[in-house]
Amino acid sequence: MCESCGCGERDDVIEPHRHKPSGREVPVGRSLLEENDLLAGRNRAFLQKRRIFTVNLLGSPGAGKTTLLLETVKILSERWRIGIITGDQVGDEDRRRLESPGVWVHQIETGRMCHLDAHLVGHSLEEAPEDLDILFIENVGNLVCPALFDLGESRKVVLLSVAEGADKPSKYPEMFRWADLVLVGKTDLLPYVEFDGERAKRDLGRLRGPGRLIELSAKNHDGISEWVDWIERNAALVKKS
Amino acid sequence: MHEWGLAVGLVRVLQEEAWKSGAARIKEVRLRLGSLSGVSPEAFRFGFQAAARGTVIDPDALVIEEVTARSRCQDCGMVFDDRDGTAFCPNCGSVWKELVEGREMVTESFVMEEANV
Ligand SMILES: Nc1nc2c(ncn2[C@@H]2O[C@H](COP(=O)(O)OP(=O)(O)OP(=O)(O)O)[C@@H](O)[C@H]2O)c(=O)[nH]1
Ligand SMILES: [Mg+2]
Ligand SMILES: [Zn+2]
Repeated sequence: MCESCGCGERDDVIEPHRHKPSGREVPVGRSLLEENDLLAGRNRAFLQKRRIFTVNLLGSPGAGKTTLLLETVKILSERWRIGIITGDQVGDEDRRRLESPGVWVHQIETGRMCHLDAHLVGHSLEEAPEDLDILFIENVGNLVCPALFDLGESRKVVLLSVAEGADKPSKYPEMFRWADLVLVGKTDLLPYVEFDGERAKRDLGRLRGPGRLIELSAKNHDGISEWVDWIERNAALVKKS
Repeated sequence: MHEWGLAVGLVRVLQEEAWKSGAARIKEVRLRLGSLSGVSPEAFRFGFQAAARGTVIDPDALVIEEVTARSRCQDCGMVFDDRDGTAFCPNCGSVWKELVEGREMVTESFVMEEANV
């Protein structure tokens, strides 16, 4: 018999064993993401009602998310009313960089949290002007945690810059697997960095099937028009819905 | 790490459930974690132990059942193990597949000790 608790299990087994606890078993059946998913659903309903096309923009720290948004918004803000929610652990540097006439910019400081969640975004939406057409949510730079948290967005877009290396999709599969669109950014740096584009595409194919991918540079604007087209087509669909 | 926030959330849910069912102590918590859930069992357990301290929940209560992801081939219908989500159909080689299970992170049940027993 087990010495320590008298549970009747053999105590001569070397590895520690677990005693079956006595007591009543209560079924739960609740997801760990239950609360986030509930709030994300509310955000989604809110955004749909206002016909706002919403992009959750994800990527490593320094992948170029803010720079890309700056260049994108310059083009789009002539035709659409744009909003940006930007998340960082500390400070409002990105908000100050993104601020421009006619564009609503809101900074979320997440503190110790390494990702945005639906709750934080929901509170930001309370402050959003009513007439937005397109909303970008720049997530906290991180290839791991933000992948799990639905914010209520219309589309998830992951930006991978060529300077990070082609192995990132295979090392951080969850981030890339559920992306609606993958952007391969900073292509102007291709002559200076080793980036095996074929490998990245092969790995991405394994993760997400034949999904959409756009190569671009915020610096020399290669590929930017394809990206802008993609946004405008989606925004137009949301407007019509 | 996002596991910390999720563990704190689970402890909160369990406290609520403990109160509803009149539990004095929670001795075991059964959690199903899919291999594609994006949650590391080790990091989650670590967070749970810290979050449960000082509550009615035993910090060592967590029993994690790891679920290997499986996909169904959309061409031939075969269901196959797809632990890290990168497998192609072993029967016909198709890349078109849908996930059958493997993303879940579900608290199935807990074992409690009733108050005033
Ligand atoms: N050469 C080149 N540099 C770029 C490009 N896009 C961004 N960068 C540079 O990359 C650095 C990081 O850019 P950010 O836009 O701040 O990156 P981020 O993803 O917003 O970073 P976090 O918000 O900190 O996660 C800056 O020095 C940018 O000037 C590009 O297309 N080409
Ligand atoms: Mg930024
Ligand atoms: Zn098949």
